[in-house]
Amino acid sequence: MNPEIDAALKIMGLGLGGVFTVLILFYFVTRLMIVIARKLPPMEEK
Amino acid sequence: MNELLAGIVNLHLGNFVMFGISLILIYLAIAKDYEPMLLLPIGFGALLANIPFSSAIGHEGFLTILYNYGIRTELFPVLIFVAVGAMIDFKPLLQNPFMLFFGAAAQFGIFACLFVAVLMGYDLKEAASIGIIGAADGPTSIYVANKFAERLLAPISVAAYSYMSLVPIIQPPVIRALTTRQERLIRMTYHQTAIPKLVEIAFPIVITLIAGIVAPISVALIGSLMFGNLIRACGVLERLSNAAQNELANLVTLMLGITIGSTMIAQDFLRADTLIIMGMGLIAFIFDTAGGVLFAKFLNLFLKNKVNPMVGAAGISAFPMSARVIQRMAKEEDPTNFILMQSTSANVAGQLGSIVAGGLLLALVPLFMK
Repeated sequence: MNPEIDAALKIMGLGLGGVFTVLILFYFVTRLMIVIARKLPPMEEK
Repeated sequence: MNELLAGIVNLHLGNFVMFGISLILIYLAIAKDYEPMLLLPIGFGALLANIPFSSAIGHEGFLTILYNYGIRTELFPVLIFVAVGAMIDFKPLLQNPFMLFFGAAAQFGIFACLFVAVLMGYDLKEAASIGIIGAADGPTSIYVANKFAERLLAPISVAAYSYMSLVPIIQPPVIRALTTRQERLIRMTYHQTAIPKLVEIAFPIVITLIAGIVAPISVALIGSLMFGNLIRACGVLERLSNAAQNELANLVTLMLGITIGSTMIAQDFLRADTLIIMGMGLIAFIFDTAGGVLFAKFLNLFLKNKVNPMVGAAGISAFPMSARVIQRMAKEEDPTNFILMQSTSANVAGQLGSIVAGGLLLALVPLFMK
């Protein structure tokens, strides 16, 4: 296979996989932050 | 006498074509309201740059100076991100973090377009710069193109901003082609929950740390966006938040637009590349939309509470236009169906997804270059 096409396919896989991985990480971290924050006393609004 | 007539005798067909393109951009901005804040300055910048012997460009031209100090240094896109960050309200996403998945799926167009560009003979850096048009995010497109393929910056910027304004025309036919009426009628329940202030404040900090550690090269992009958002969310910097949302955003947008326009010089812009890039940008937007819709349909195979697949299409970064398009389409099918909040959440997720995708491209492409 043409090395450029091979590299493009790898970037496509790693890139899309990477975006999903990072956003899945964001998802779990966000859920965790919400759970923790709900257990803490609410912040005073200034 | 010759010097007095230099402007006239040096006018070529290319100059007239570029005048025409400039006027079309200005017309679209004023008459059609297509991204006027950018298309008008871009159009006028192109007009200034294509007048023979224009003093606006060249060694001492103010537009060249703005380009060298604002675009080449990546300062303008980064400042725009601070402003955009201050404008984004992440609450809809925090109330419904599940929508983050659509912000990832709808970046498919970036990578599909990169692959198509390589098949067409572009090298990896140019292909990545063309693909990033699919981020539907002007500053990210400019940032990546400036790093990887400066010579393609003008057509990529014009394509990115033009297609962002054409989202209401591009997305509906793609969505209709990929969904049945039954799917478009799916209702989604929405539970509004109060988000603790602490989460609003911690979110930009934690996201910056995660994205920065995964792809350090994305720190400038995500860091500036999240800095702007922290100013907004913290609640103690209202003046700075307002300044970022208004004065900073307006001033940098103005300079960014006219500077990008000044790079649209006839001999560089009137090439087959420009037409190809415009075509590829369209492909990227179509694949983005398809990626989001098909991912939602895939999830529906496993979910008990089905997702309206149209919401997946809102996972692109064009905010809030895409969310509004999806809500309008849902309303056309069933006037009582209300999925605006879910679409908005997906749309906000798309803003994060596009920056993460841009950061990953910046990190990955150099690894595969010979």
